[in-house]
Amino acid sequence: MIGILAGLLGAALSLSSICAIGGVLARVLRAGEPTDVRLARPSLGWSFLLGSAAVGLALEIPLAIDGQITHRSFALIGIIGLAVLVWTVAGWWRNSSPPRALPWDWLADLPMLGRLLAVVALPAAVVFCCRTDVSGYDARSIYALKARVLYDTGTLRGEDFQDIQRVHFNPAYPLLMPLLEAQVYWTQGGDARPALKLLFLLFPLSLASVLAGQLRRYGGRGLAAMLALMLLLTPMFMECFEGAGLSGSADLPLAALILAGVLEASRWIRRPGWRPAVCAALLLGAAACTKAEGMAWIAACAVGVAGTWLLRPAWPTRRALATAFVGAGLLALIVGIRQTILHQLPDSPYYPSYFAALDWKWIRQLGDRPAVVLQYGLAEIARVKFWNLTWPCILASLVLLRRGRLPADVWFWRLTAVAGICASLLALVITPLHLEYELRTSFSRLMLHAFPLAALIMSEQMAASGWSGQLAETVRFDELANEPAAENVVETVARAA
Amino acid sequence: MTQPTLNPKARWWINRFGFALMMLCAVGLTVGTFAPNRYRIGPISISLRGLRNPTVGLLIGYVLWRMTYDGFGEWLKVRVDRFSGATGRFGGAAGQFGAQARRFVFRSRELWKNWGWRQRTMFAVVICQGLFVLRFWQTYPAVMDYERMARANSFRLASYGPPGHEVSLLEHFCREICDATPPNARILFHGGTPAMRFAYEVYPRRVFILPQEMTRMAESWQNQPQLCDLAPDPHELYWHQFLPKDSPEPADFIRQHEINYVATFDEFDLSRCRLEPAP
Repeated sequence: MIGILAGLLGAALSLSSICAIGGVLARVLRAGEPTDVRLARPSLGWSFLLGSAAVGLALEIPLAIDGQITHRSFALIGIIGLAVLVWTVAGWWRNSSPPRALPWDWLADLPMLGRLLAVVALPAAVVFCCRTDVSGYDARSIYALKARVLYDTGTLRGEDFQDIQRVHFNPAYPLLMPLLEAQVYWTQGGDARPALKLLFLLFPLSLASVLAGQLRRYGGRGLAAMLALMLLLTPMFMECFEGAGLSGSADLPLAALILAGVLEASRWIRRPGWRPAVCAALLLGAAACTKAEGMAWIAACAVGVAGTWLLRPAWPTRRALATAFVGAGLLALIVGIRQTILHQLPDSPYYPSYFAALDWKWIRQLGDRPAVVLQYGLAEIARVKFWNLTWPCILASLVLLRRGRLPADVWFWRLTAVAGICASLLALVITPLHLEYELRTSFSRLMLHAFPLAALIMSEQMAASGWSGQLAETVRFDELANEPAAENVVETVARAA
Repeated sequence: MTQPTLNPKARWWINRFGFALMMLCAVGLTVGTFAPNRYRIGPISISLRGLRNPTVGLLIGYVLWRMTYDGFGEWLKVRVDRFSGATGRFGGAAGQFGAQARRFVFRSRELWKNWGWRQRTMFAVVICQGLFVLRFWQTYPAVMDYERMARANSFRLASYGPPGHEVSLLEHFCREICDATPPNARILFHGGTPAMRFAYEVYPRRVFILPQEMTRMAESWQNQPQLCDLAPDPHELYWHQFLPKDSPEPADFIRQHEINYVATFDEFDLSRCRLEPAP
């Protein structure tokens, strides 16, 4: 019992510290953005995502320098996090700002039915996460095993990583999630304590919080919160089957980092500045250090930025180019750290690389595969057991007629989403593994990476066509909202025009 | 327009019934959230595996209580209003509630008439999505509880499945290995893809696989009980030529890696699962 309580307390402290560090970063990097008007501080979602990106990347630095990480590094991060946490709580105390509102940022905007759903689902998820260990195949064989090895031995140079006969799923895997898990282990005081899954629960919650914050730009707070709740109550987010949010796999963290990174990049497109550029680089860099697919999404963002500039009448200003240079420089540094770590790890011949599959001899044999992949994809979007009906909703929203032109940031989202999904489909076509096996085990996960961005595009489209506004007016979702929307889509469209 | 009136006695009874129903269902909802199960109280069996019935009861009770509100349960009303942000939504009179409902229906009908096929299609899909969300939500605590039980049982039971088709449970096997070996044990594993989960479960014991078995595993990741219906993929064979083909003697491998135990696991045959000291 004492072990369980110690585990819970450790996990809570560790995650609060990560949020506190991220909160400070969000204050600096997202200064001037409408975050949470009532709380006058960054939302939980931005705090946690920026915190996990910063902590994960900071822990990668010693590994990049000499392939080793000692408990002193975890301790340093832990102490900094606790100090910032104490400072933050002391600030609330002084200002009499209500700390009770912290976890409720967007949930407080929900209408009654939504609150009832949240009040039941979230405690059930928290209880589950507190009582079980990570359970998925990837969660255990890739991330948690690497986390245990890093926490225990603290080196990439031992036989655990270097001997390819030692059972260790694909040693050359990005290490951000294992490092975050190891940080939680350090605060818990051991790697056999429960509640590690709380780390994974915070990612879907953060994602919904970030999305709700963004959707407030397109309508009232109540409607934004309701849409975010509908997204949160997708089985792929809140269940624990293989690849789902609570399985302990890194797919949902990757999806959350991609969404946040894309949002910051679009903020930079709207108003170029060093803050959004640095913030986007940090989040997208963290995505690249979470899973290999993160690199593909960085490329998709580059396609999105280039495409948006080409489609806009005006060329980028000097300020945009200068700040793009800052962001690209930071991103290159983070990717460099990632590559330095991966170069220290052996390339196991048992796991064929997707880059090796970019070979003409191989690709010319695959004429029948695109049709199989597309057919599977069509079946996947109607798979209600995983997605409810969100994908059909996303597709249906595209037939709504918009008022006005597409703003630049929406162009960017759409181009990025299309490029990212195309890259995922291409990866499935050229996979060196058994195709049907790959489709069954990976397709949903690859779609999950694009899912939040697609949901954002859907919500914006519904707002820009006037559909969601009319519906909200009828249902009176927003009669309870305390403040009007921070910025609505009509203004955005007018400004773009 | 005159508001419909209600006999005061009937109003009192409806109010108290609504309140009692709401409280009863709130208890059911709480139990269903934190401990979903089928409960027996004497001859009555109450299933709290799904949350639909308690939720519907709660909402019906709430509406009855608020429509006939006469000051009873003031303390709760204040809290519910704060929770829902809906101060004065049901003003305490059946007529007012009815007028609000009629206004809502009228507005919805007007909106539907003004919409074209695109908006109507979108509306239909969103409503269906809402129903799916509710369907997911109403069984969510039970599903989570089931997953927790399944995980706990995988450590407790050696196998599961109908007689004659049992599948061995790796987690139980791992627990036996942990009991039988010291933390610094070095184990050679025979048994295919479960090796990856095995390595996590028995950590800090180090687990190894013979190169020839690793090659076989890399050629057939799809050989798993839940994927037994997959047809072979002819293209995949192209990559088998690049896999290492070395096959050292097990004795040499064991000596070279200082292995002191050999574990064999067979998902389809429990009797073959065993742990032996290394030769």
